[in-house]
Amino acid sequence: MALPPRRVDNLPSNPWENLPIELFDHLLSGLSVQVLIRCRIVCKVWLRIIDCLYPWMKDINPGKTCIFGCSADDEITGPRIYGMIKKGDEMIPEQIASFPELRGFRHGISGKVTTSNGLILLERQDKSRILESAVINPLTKEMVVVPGSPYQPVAFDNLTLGYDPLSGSHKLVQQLVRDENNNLGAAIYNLRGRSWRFIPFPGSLLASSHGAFENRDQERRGGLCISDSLLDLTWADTNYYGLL
Amino acid sequence: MSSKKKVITLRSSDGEIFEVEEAVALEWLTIKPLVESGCTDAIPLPQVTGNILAKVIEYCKKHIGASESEDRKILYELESWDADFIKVDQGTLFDLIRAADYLTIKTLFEFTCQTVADTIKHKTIEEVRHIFRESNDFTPEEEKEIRGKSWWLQGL
Repeated sequence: MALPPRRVDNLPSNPWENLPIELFDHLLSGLSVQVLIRCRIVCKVWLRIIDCLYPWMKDINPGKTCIFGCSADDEITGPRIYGMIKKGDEMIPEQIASFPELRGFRHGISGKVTTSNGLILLERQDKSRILESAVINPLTKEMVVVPGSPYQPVAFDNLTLGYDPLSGSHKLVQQLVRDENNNLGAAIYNLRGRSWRFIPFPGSLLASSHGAFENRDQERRGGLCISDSLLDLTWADTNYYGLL
Repeated sequence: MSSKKKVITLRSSDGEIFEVEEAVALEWLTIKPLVESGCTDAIPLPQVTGNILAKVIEYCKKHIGASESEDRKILYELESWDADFIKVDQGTLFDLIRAADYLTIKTLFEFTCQTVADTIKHKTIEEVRHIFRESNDFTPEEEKEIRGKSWWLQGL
């Protein structure tokens, strides 16, 4: 006969500690984000597990109205997107959408999710090269799958999503690449024109921590205007939803 | 005796021998190829102990055929049987999850995972700690820092 569970403070083995991390993803996938955030303060083991599976969760803070995240790497359900939903006067984190078609896609290697105007950029990688990426709108569930860029990254492969007000379209930027003639520049993908383009840099280049770039010559090439601040735009801004 | 159902023999990590009907063993995707190849020796399951294997077999025997039934009475009975079945301590519950994962038994795996999720939902942090026998190993400063970032945690 099974004994009733008793409180034992110095239990020899913690069942949570002995479970493989992949199993936790299944265990936790049934829980809402609010519950997961609460679980982070149960103990250090839980905090470590949850932060490992949902690296964006530790960035949630009251100062931001828009938080996006997706599960670490869910081969079964595809990426699951979380965000802050306004309920009454409160902002509550919740799962907004899942994209089973995008199995194998995940956020960039930094563990942070790249967003612009509510659109989210996900990547499918192999050996640190980005094979494909996808721009998704979690509210309308629209998606555009973007082929990998034909240009060779200089240091590490890196993609940024931004809105270009001059051409009125969203663009992907792969910073620091070389073209076939070994020129240094950036590769730009126009989500409206659906094509990659190489833009050479005439001067020295400053790459920012957000993955966006600035040109030190202060000349914006190709009508492109992507800055750090664009990445922080609130997703509640509905003006751009129609663009996909 | 040709109508007699084929029986598969399984050996747990602690050497216990179990016999299950072939139809049950075929639901366990990990050993399915072995069963299909007509293996007559006892199949060793080095990651599952005898008492957990007994529980797994009990669950699968009950569920075979019954899960697909459309008879609401049968489904209702199965549901209350499941509720009794899963009244186990946390250690056993986690052993069952691990066994279901190891043997690739989809129904049992989903059921046990859902049970853990249901246990965590609608509980305060203190209750979750109590249920899972976790003790709060954060210093007050650390806890304050984690809580401080999540304003809706106040009062939980």
